[in-house]
Amino acid sequence: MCLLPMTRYSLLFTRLRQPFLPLFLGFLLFFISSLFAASEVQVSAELSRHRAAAGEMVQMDLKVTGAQEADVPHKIAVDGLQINLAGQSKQVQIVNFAVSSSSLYSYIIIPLRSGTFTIPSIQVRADGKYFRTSPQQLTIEGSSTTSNNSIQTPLSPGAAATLPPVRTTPNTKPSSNNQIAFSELIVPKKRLYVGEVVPAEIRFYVDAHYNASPRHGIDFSNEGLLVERLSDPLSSTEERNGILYNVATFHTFISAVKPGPINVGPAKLDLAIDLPASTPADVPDIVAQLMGHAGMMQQHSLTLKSNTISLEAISLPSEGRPDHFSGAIGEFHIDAMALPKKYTLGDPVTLAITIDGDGNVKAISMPELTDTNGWKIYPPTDRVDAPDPGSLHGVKTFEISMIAQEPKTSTPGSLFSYFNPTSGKYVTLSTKPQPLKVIPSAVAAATPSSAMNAVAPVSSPPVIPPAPQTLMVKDYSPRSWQPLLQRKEYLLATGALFLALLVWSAYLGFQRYQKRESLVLQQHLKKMWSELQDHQLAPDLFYKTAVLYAEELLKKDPSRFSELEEIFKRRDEMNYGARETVLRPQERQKIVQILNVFQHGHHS
Amino acid sequence: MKWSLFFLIALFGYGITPLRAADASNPPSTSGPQIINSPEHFYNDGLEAEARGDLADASLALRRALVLNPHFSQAREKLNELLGKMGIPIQATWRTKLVSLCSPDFLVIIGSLLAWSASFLVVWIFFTRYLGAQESSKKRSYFLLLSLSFIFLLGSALAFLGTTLDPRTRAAKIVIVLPKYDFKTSPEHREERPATTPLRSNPVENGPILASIPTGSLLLLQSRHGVWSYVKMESGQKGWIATSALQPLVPETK
Repeated sequence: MCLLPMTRYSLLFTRLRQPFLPLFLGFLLFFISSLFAASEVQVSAELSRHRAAAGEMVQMDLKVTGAQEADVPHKIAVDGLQINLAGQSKQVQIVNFAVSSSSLYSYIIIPLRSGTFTIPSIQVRADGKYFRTSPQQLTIEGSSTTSNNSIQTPLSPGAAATLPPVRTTPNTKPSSNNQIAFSELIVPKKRLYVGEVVPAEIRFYVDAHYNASPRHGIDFSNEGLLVERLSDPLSSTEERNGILYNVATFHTFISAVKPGPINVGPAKLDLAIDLPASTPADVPDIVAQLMGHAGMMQQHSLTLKSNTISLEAISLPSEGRPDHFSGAIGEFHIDAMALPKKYTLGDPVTLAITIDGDGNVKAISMPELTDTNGWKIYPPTDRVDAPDPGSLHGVKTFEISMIAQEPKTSTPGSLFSYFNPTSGKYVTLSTKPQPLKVIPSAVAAATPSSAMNAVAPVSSPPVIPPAPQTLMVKDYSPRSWQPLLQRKEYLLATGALFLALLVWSAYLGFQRYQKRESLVLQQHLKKMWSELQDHQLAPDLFYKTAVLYAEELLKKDPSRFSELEEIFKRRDEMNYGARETVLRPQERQKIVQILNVFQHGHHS
Repeated sequence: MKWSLFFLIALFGYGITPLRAADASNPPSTSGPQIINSPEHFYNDGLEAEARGDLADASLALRRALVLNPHFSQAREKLNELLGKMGIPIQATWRTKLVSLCSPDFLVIIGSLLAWSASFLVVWIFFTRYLGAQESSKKRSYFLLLSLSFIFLLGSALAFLGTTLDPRTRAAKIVIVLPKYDFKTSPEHREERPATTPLRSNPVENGPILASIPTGSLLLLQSRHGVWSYVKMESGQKGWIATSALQPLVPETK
């Protein structure tokens, strides 16, 4: 298979060898000489752009042309910029037989702050000589203020870079100041009452260009404060100073436990963030080239630390505090409902009291019940429904089971007081007693343990029923756990009944069929009999009908054939004999008489 | 006709007798660990559990007694009293109200008798009175057949209603929250059942809690997956709960 092309090449070579061989060798020599011809070494640097927004990466290409080898720096030190060699590529060009090769060294520039920077000339050693590039200017747009919350450069791999808190005033959003990552703590109030629940929001911003993941949970421990469990984070994106940030927002509620000044925060979060890194010295150029920029990312640890907010906690005023005030702070409404509206004495009634509003809903305790005489009240159950985790709004429902000890036409009322932090005053709310109707119970009246006065009119003096006696029952009546319709015995009985219904239907149907057959026969005989009575009937038809009639009669009793034999003989004589087909009236009457005697056993 | 009626009565006799025999086939016994399927037995169990302070267990026994005999007034009163103490609201549904008026078994038997009687009469009238009858009597038979068909439907509806009302029909799917005794919750080192059991959105130990269900509450079992059960509360909320915290309303060793 391979011999054929080889033979072709040999032939070609043989032809070339004779007149064209010197010419061919000349070209080859020229090509090789131009390939290795020493060309002039040129070094230049070029930025991918000269203006960039804060936080955006810029690429700088350092091009070395005409040199086989070049030695370039891996890092370039410029204050406010982080410049690292990210990769290398090589190009070979042939123009008019002139071969030139160039190496491209790519640097990634990460601006650490805004401003105008001059990247100094870079010294490159190529083919044993030193060359310098021209300086480059790079303008980073954004606020010129240097933030103390920025990521400090350089970040040594594996070292935790602690970010100083955001320079911000309390209760206001801090500026991002063109940082890669920062955090904010927001509390809407500076002055709060002890026990008052105030929402707090913690936001963590990470530049959307970088991958970051939390290492641990959030550290938000505060002295003198009660902090609720942080909500699940809400993810969003937000643009600050032209930089797109991924934002994780956590909601919580804080409340002061003692009066006085309180510092809230900082909230801390450890992050692992991927940042571009310089090419390690021991990585071959070709490997770095193949890996590209992605391979040159390095993970750094950093701690995001939010601002601290100073609050002032003040005590609740003692003036005007209701006796039954139990610590509810906020703004609330109260409602009550009783179920069932009609009850049998002895049965429990549930009074549901709903407190709806904004404030420390979870801390609300059971309202005070009024007019509880005649009611046996059991400990309440409560539940809190908070539709929005980031909102102070909530509903707390207390369900109180109570059993009337006497016929009661209304439930107890309730009193609830809270402190309104906006007005700085206590507010007392109440619910009216819920109307009820007592229904008499026949079953309860029949049993000794039931309330005997259940049917008594409401106006009559209440009689406290005797304490129910719980007696063991000794007479056992075993029952099945299966409902009647699903039990085997019932299904068997139903199947048997269904089968019986089918058999009975078949029997009645068969009877009906038989009855119909005999009815048809009777009608047929009746018709023939009337024909035999007809004197105008032709003799041959008369005998034919008489024989058919006799045959039907003989089907019932064939043993009496002799009584009707004469009819058959006369028919045969008429059919086969030489007699004239004349039928006298006497003969016609005799035949009819024979048939009649056979049927009824007497002469007509 | 006489023969047919005799046949019908004999068949009903056959159908009803074994039903009573089946109830009586489980003789009463007051000893041994065997569960006796009698409401009185469960009522007594409930009283014993109440005496030892286990209200949740007592409520389960009383509920079982009421499933077997919905007209057991003593058990109902005692259960209402216990649920009141436990703070569990009693929700009277249309089923419980109707059951208090009429026995489900009675409705099923009466309904079946009506339906089957009507069926046999329809067949008899159809073959003997309707087929081959004169036009005038045929019309009369037609109305009679129509009335009997209505009685058949009425009987079937009564039997269906009886089955629907019967608490035993739904009992197999009902479970009671009855967590095991907990030694840690009590400061006096007493054995106590936890007051509530969490209903979780996922079948994992630390899954988000949807609600805290008081011990002794009724739940509708949707499905069971090993140590977790998917249940539905009376409010309609569904979630996962530990299977070990549930007790079936129908005892497993019937």
